[in-house]
Amino acid sequence: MILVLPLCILAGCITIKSVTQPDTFVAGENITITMNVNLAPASTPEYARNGERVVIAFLAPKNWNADQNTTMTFNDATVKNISMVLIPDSVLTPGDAGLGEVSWKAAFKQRYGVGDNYLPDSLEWICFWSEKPYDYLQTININPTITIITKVGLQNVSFKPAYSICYKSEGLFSTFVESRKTINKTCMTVVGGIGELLDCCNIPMQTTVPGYALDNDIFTLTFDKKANPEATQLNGILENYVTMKGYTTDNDSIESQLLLTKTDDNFSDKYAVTFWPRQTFQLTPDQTLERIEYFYTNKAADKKIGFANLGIPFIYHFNCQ
Amino acid sequence: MHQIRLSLCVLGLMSFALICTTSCVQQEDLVAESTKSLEGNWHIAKVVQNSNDLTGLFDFSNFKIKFLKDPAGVQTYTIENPVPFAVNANGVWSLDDPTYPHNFILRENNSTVSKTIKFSFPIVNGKRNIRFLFNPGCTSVNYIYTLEQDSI
Repeated sequence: MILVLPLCILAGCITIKSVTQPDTFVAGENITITMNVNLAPASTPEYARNGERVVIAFLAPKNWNADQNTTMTFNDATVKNISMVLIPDSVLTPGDAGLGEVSWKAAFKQRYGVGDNYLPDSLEWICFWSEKPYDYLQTININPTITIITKVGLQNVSFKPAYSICYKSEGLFSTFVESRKTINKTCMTVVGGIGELLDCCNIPMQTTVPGYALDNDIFTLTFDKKANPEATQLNGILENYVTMKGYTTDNDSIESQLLLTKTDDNFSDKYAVTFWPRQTFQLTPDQTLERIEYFYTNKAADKKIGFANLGIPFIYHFNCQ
Repeated sequence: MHQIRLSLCVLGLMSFALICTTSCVQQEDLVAESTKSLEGNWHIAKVVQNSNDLTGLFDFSNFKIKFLKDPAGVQTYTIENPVPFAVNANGVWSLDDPTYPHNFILRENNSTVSKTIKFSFPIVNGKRNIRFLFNPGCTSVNYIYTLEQDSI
């Protein structure tokens, strides 16, 4: 009889035992995250990979610049400290099927997207690995504590953190699924942040395309009536509008209202409009729009949905990245 | 491994050279006539913003640009029903290189500022299309306008 052992035992599994975060993320301050992990050995020496590195990554808002602001330590009672460093973008790893080799940052995004979050362009994976390769990562049982210290950005943002660990030689797309583990945490909102809330946790009620634009760009607003079940003001209203106030750099305000077009099938309730702000707000050649403030409304604009359904307008500032 | 790579590289270069020779001849033919072929009325057939097709989402259909060469040889353009573009008012135009043009230069009549946009003049379905690539707003937002000539 042939006994088939699971690959887990043969080549060594990774288990995330716990991830501890502070209760609050305070804007501008360092936070410390602790991961307790088990790295099991390969059951037989022939399955142990020599010169292995452990890869540890976490999700952060791009405005944290976490690549520059993070230190990571790896400490185990037996092997002591392993130095962890940021993986250079020049180091490549196999990407998703048919997509060739990519940076680790890109590979994590292909594998896991942005975890449980929306707004994928606003989040990134911060990737570290052991500075040197080690043979013993596969031959002994290790229970390291990984400490991540990173600096919270200044902006107002909410997101669901995620933490991931894998082996460099397996990468993120091997069939040996036990060689990588990821954990998603619940929504955290930065305390004391500045600016409008960048909410990565909840389905966006509306989106603006492009993310950065000037008044001379073609601009698209999309509105999802079903995204917030508590925003019922426009339920049953067939003609939906965006009612806007454009503010110029001279502080003039110009009003405009555009009819939205229903964009898709019967399963969702999405509307959109594409327009040229300079034309819509009838700007003279020497006027420039600084921002628009707007609600999604009925024609009379006495029923309206604004930012976070709080009765305040959505705001879009016209500036480039 | 290195030697194999080198051989493939050389083979690739030789193939490219062969392709270039045949298309270079075509390129010369078309370039000689390109300035003349540009003259006339053009309308927008397609608009792509970054990688999104905007053609059906915004009304570009009334935009017209007319390229002329007056008896004195001055190349002028006129625009009707502007849309986001490098220029809005009438003015003069030129190509960066009359033999192998890659850029189109436009200057409004009352302005000293020239706007340079990327230009190509491919044949599609037997007819010339103008293709402009430019940024009327943020430099991170690219537009490709495909223009077709009005039928007479």
